[in-house]
Amino acid sequence: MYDSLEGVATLPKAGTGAGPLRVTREGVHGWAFVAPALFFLGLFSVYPTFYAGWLSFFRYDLLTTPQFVGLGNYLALAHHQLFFRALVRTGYYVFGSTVLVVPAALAVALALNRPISGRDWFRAIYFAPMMMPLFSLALMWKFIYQPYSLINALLKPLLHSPIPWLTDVDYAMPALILLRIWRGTGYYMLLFLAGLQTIPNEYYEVAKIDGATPWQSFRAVTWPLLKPTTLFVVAISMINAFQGFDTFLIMTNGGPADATTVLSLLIYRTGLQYYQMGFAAAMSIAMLLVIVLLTLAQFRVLRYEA
Amino acid sequence: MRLSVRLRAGESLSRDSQILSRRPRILFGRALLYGVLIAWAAVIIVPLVYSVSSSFKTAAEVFQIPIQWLPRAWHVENYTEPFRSRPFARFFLNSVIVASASTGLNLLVASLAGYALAKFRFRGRSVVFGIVLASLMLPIQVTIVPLYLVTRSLGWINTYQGLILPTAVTGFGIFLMRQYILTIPDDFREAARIDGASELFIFLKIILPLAWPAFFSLGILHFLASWESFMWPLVIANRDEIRPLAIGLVMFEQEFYTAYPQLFAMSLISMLPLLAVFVLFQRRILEGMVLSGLKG
Repeated sequence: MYDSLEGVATLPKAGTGAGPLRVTREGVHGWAFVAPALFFLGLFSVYPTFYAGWLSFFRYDLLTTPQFVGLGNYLALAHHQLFFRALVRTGYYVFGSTVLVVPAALAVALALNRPISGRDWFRAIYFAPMMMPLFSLALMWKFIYQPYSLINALLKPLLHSPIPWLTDVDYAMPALILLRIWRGTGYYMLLFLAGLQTIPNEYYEVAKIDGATPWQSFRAVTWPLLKPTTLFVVAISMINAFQGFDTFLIMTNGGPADATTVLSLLIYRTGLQYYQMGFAAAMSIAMLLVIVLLTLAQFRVLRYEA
Repeated sequence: MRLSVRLRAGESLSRDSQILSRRPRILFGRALLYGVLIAWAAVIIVPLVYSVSSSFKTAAEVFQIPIQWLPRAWHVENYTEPFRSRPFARFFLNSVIVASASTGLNLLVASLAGYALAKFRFRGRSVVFGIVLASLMLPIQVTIVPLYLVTRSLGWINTYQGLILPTAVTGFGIFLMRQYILTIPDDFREAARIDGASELFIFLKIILPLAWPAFFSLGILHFLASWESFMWPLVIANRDEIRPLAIGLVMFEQEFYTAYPQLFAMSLISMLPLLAVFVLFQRRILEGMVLSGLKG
């Protein structure tokens, strides 16, 4: 993906004055311009990542000096039930929301990818929740999910008793997934719309002349040509969901009975509430590993497709 | 239902009659399309309308069974009272300070670095770009514990610099600027060089104006992200004087659980700056959001 862009970056050798002096000049300026960024990324991204790796071999509670425990934290992690449950919960959230939000976004994008009146209005409305800070939405929806509040009032004809959305072990995660779909569909819709615009209109015209039904032209034209976009959206949705934190802390704080304790919440709790810094760092490294694998899978898939 | 069955039967007929049956089919398709579009718009709008309505209710009305759609009287004081009982003005100001400073810093640092990575040939450039790409996929959850320790050892707990600096410069910002500046032809730059312009002059007077769309999009996207950032301030800001809106609001909910109408009011107020930006720059934001897809 990046290789092709790299080619653009290499300037063709300028005809005049491409001597050693100019290269030095470029080098000095290049480093000077990059230096502030390197300072910030180095101090606040690279160094903390290695620090996390180092910390994961220690027991550290902020009060006493760090104590080397070797692989102790990782071994403890392997026997830590809550950690595995958090992994499973995170997987539930990641897959559960992606499986629903991607088809919803695709459907909306397909509907809006044609000249219909009010198109811009629909698009703006669908996207608007992305412009609302997640913490305020989480607080509002926390109330909206109350047993006698809006959601259950709307579902009343379908229910015989109100659903205790956020306080029931089985409903808490679906509730958080629904909020993610409500908010995220508009965003992924935009990505799909951008992908749909790259499909040449002639293909549809040819399909139409051949007498293809809308469904047939979707199957034969849209779906195969949109595949890179779809894979891309799936990957982004999964990575974003994997990092979810705000709604979990604000709406359920991991409850009830740890039913919504996802990985990022567990790291926060272990490291910054219980001050088991080393143990939390080991969890962070495990999380990093999953992200690296997800990203590599994403690149591999995209490279194959693109 | 019956309509669709009839259309289905029509498909198996000869081509001529298929063309004849197209009109009702198109009408039906249109109706279905608008039905779905309006339904989803309603799903988005109804909770928001309910929230706005609830923000004017009394606490008793909010908890009333069955649900109360409109307040009996419009209690505008829900929007002013929290500013008296809690330092909401301060929270608001803190959010403005942190988001603006963070955005300004990121724009400056990221556009400089993006320019260098796009247009300068220098040794180690690919290593720097590798670091940028790596930090692009690094979420704060991975580094939050060591980041807290670093910030703590700098003495930055409960300070603006602690809130702003560790999360200001993003790999995404640098990457976005680089990708955009790559598309700018070199001719302008070469010409300015021959005229003896300094690199800084070229950056400020030639590159930045040409990279304006990316610069502007990054500014808005980063301001949004900073305004709604939650995990880092939660860790770093535990005094009211320094808390941004995100933390102040969540604390308010925990302290005054039953003051839900006021909580609705304050949640809505926290959305206003972003919604205002959205209304003003909708097209640019929608375009920028597509660019942000690169983030993954």
